[in-house]
Amino acid sequence: MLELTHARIGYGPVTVVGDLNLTVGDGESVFLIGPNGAGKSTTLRGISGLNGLQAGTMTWDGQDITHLPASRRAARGIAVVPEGRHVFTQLTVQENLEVAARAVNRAAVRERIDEVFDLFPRLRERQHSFGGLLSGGEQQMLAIGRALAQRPRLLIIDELSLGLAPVIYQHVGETVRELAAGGLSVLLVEQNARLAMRICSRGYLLAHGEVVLAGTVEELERTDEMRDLYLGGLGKVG
Amino acid sequence: MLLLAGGLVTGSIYALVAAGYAVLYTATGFVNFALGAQAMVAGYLTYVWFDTLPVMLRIVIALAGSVVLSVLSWVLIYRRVAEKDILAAVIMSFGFSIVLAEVVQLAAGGIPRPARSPAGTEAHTLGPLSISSHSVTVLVVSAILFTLLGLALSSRGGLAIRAMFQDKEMAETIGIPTNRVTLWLFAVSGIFAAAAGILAAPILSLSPHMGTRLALIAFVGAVLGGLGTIRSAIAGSVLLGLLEAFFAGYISADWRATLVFGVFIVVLVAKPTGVLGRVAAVKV
Ligand SMILES: Nc1ncnc2c1ncn2[C@@H]1O[C@H](COP(=O)(O)OP(=O)(O)O)[C@@H](O)[C@H]1O
Ligand SMILES: [Mg+2]
Repeated sequence: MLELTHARIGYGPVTVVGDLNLTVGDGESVFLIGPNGAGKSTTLRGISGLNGLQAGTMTWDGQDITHLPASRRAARGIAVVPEGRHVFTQLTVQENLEVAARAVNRAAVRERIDEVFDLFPRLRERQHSFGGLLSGGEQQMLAIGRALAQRPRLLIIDELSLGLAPVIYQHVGETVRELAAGGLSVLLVEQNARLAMRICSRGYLLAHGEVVLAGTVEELERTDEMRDLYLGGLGKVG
Repeated sequence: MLLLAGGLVTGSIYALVAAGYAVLYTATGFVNFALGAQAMVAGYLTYVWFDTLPVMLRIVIALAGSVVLSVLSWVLIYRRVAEKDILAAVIMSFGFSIVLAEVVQLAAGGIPRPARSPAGTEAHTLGPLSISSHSVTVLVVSAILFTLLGLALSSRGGLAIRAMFQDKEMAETIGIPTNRVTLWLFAVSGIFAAAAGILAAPILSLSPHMGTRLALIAFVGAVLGGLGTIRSAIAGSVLLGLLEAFFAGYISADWRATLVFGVFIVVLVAKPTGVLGRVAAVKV
């Protein structure tokens, strides 16, 4: 469904990700893991269109979207939860959802917001609060809810668990796992390898802007790199 | 009372330009100093250049001219520069305002032109207060424009613009065409600048360089309130108009320009985000 071929991504003249080949199939959930500064967020900015590709191509359902502006990708079904959540702090929870829902399609806005509230009842309780007054966990739910209010086909999440208490990210992670199991495609950047491997079926290990390992969860679990770096004593315990 | 009314009238005119600044600044981080010169051009379009046409038509021409100047100057001059270096773009807008002033001076001469208010000049007395039709028009028109702007921003469609004011990249990511919205905001700022010029000309004198002064005073007013929030920029400018009127009335009319820039320096030193900035940021 999503396919990056020889993609080079960076900022202005600076290249961060050199030559990336990455695919996410229809209904597939894929994670991206790697040390700080590896280029994970930069990769996602390339996919969402905030950073244009310096080289290479990107296709979506076989169509070339390499030069499609970021604002037109949401309507194609690509929704993003960025690092740091970026909820609209001075809009209420319900306005955060509404603005995203309306931006892709004027129809059935109310229904889509209600779907999000059913998924995260906590957001319904706080629907009239400003986004900036929510706790970190609530903001993450809102950022994910905002993406889901667009009824995407691919949900991209950058750092699901970062800064959240385990009980919170386990809960949010479980919701994402259920969505993925229900057929939504997911591309997840996550430092907590156990969490990532529970949600996704396949993954990439990125370092210095290059893919150093790729494979299914079963394959990756058996590699020394993943064991040493992420699943051993040094990794966070999920 | 007279000072209060006079201060509100000039303050409202500053506030129209300040609203134009704030609309653009919140969306792009760019301060368009040429808004003052656009106001001046709108004044010439209304009062000097088409004086055989009916006044309503001249006003429409002035509004349209200012909108075109606003949008085209962004697309053709500032946009590319602003992406790399916003300060360079701000300085360019200052340069563009000087160009506009020089062009008008070549076309119409440097001497101030009389501008007769379409609203007439007769005075109305309201108890102890005597106020001209034009002053009433200034207050009513600016109140209407501010209300319309407020209503537009708090509407369903305005939600997307408020989202964009807060986080442009995120707005783009959820599918808001921020470049196109920015063009609309430049058009809106053009309307506000033109309204300021049309309303100011009968009060201040209409001359090629009136725009520069208007641009600077409105900027001081906007910074006094807080440039990052539209309503504080408006409130700050009205406040500055009042300060200026009372200062001129009680202390010295000759030193009012000094007052304005004295206020500017004090604000910049004391609180760069504006005195009303913090309160307003929580309320929006
Ligand atoms: N706005 C930017 N301009 C230039 N370089 C950047 C910018 N943002 C990030 N980088 C660089 O890109 C590299 C990768 O960053 P990032 O993609 O955020 O990594 P990760 O998400 O894997 O931690 C880092 O070396 C960082 O310094
Ligand atoms: Mg990152």
